[in-house]
Amino acid sequence: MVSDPAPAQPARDEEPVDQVSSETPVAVPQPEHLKVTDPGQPAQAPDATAAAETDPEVQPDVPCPSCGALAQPGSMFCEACGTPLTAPTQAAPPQQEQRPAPPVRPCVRCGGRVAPDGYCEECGSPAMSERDHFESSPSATVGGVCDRGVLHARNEDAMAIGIERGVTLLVVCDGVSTAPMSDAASLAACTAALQALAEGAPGGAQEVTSEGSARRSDWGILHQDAARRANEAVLSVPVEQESDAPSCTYVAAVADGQRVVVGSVGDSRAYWLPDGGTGIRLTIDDSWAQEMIELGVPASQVESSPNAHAITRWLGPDAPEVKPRLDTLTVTSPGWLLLCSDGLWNYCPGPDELSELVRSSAASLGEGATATAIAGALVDWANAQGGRDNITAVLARLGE
Amino acid sequence: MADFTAEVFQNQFLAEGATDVHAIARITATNAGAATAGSLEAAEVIMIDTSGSMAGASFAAAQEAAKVALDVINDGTWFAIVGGSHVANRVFPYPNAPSAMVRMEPAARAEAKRAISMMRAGGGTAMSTWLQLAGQLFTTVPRGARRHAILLTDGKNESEPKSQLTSTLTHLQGQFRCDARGVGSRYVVAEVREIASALMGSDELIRDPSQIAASFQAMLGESMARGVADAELRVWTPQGSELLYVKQVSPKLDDLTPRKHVVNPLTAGFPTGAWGDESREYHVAVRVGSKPVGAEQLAARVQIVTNGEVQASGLVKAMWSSDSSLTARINPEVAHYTGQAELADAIQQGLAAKAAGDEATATVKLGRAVQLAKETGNDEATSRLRRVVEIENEERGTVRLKRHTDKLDEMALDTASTKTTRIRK
Repeated sequence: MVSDPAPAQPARDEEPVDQVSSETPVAVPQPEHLKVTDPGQPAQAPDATAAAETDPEVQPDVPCPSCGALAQPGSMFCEACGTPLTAPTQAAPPQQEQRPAPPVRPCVRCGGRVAPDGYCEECGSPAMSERDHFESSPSATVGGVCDRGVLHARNEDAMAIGIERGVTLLVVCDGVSTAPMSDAASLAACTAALQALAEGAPGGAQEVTSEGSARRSDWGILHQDAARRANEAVLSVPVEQESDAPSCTYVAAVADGQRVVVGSVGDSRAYWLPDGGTGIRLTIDDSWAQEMIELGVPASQVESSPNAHAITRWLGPDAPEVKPRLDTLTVTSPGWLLLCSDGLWNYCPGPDELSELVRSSAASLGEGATATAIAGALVDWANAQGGRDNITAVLARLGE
Repeated sequence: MADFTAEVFQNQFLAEGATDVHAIARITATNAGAATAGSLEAAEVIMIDTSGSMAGASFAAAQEAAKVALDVINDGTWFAIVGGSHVANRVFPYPNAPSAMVRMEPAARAEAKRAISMMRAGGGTAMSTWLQLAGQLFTTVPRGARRHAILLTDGKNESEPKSQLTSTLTHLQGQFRCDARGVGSRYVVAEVREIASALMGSDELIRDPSQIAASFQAMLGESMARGVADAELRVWTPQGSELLYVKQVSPKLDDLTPRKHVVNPLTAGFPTGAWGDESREYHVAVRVGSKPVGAEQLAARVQIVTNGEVQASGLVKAMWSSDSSLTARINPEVAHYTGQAELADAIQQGLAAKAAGDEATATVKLGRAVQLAKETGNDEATSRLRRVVEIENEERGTVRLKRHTDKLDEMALDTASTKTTRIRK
């Protein structure tokens, strides 16, 4: 199904939202090998299992036996009324039973309370599953948010982030929603790629030991290995029928000291957004639009085409090749490395606009905002623009 | 303690742009039977038509039946006997007695039988007055008691305007259950049906006065076996949606929509009265805003509530899909009860047309009824229809009206039109 020519029907909710073209179209070459990432939405039911965020590690606050005010564990006296807070005795053993139910994430659509049956009490939307929205925060300066968005029934984006002995590893994959099981494919690809890249960190099975430019190319070799293993992970996703070809895009970055090495397949992107200077887009899309622009077709016309979001390379059973494009960067000043899916960059494709968006998001969150919090603000912003696709934003603070 | 379960039957898949969600919710009560009912406070009022038309065999049989009924009522149950004509009279406890209802015990039973023997027929018929008196009597028994009444009539409600009965019924809704019975061929099926429907009871035709006693015994037996005094059906629908209707479809058809009251802005409540060990099915129709293909939404929560607590909840869902093999599927339960509702309409409209002398409409409607009865496997309806029409072709629904039909057969067909059959497995 993938090697078919591009479909005649426009991708309904994938039109570029930031540009409206009134130019007369000129004839453009027909693409030969394309994958439209989202011509509509799948008919399958979403796996809307209710997800309650629980953290078994958190100790409950201790309620004051006299006034009920909550005191931190270990407090000797109630801050509110001064009643001594003695250690639990036989007199009050059932306190354990009365732990409040874990907080349930409010409805993503309307903010209403989600009932125990898994649906919002106000608007009836299904509760977000863990797969629909998840965050990862390996440190205060490295983190990301992956979100279903507003319009899509499921989240086919995925991310995996790690800090392995000083090396920061970031992976984002965007499942192709025309192919079933792409949500599983993208998650499997991220996990496999992160594992592969981690082997290059100090003490890893494929530790990168060379210095200088050789170190960069060694990471490049590992990137190829990571993409290959990500592809294998996609191939091992169980499918219902032979013709199903779960697929996803792939972008991964390694930040090893000042060196940043990025590998990409498809149209998920990496940007370098230095604090003071001009932002840089690090990746080149493997997309029909990119090919057309390279052929000299006006960008406005390309972006309004039904094929604008068709990709020419991907991971999956029917992938033409899985060798990632490699891009490198040497960090000389503080800034943010951003990896994102088209759910974000569709609304804000230019590096400078993105720079400004990250800066204003960080500013609105105040001093000391974590990378995850800023990534969350980027996702919220994309949702506020319509959230027409899944959204993933991963940030790493570099060069400090 | 009674246990309730809720099951939902529907095709949750909607085509792109579709907005209407239909589902059948089945509520089943278990452990709600006689054993549970034994410990429940209960009150029974028996209303006997004492209008002039009753005089003769019917009245004697009704008196006898009321006495038999007293034997069935458990000791300890609050009870009263009402005689109704154009006014309502408390027959027992005697009008000068200090309490409006008394608990059953052997002496009270014997005295009540004496009081029934002294009843005399005469006067007109104004059923709203009987029901109002029953409503007043029930206010004197403890809160939470199961309240049940029986109304027996043989004639038309001719001593008051129709609106008087309707407004009285609206006022009394939810206060007590009333099973209504018509005896003979002179009463109006629609009036008896209106009373039973509004007060959550059953309505039946008693062909011959000799059958009154058995009917009373059966009604009281069922009432005594209802261990849940009162339950409410609640339907939650999401913000921005519209609850199109809620109909009971089994064991009999009853549109609950007019009896809706607001529980909260998103939840409607419908009284369902007392429950024994039984299943009831409801057709819920909700109009929601259309969503993009792939989206899912909860369209309704159907809940059964007793004493303010939700006992069981069923979920009605909507999922938009572009797969026509999913969206075109018609749920068998929904189709079955939609057909049965149409069957009831066809019978009632056909008989009304026949009564009005419009034979063409009557033939078409009753023919459609024959066809629907066949399609939905309602053999009882088919055999009742056979008494009124000659069936030429069952599948195509071609019939001829019978020249000479027994009025009682037509009334029996009309009365039973709301009875539905369960879907065949």
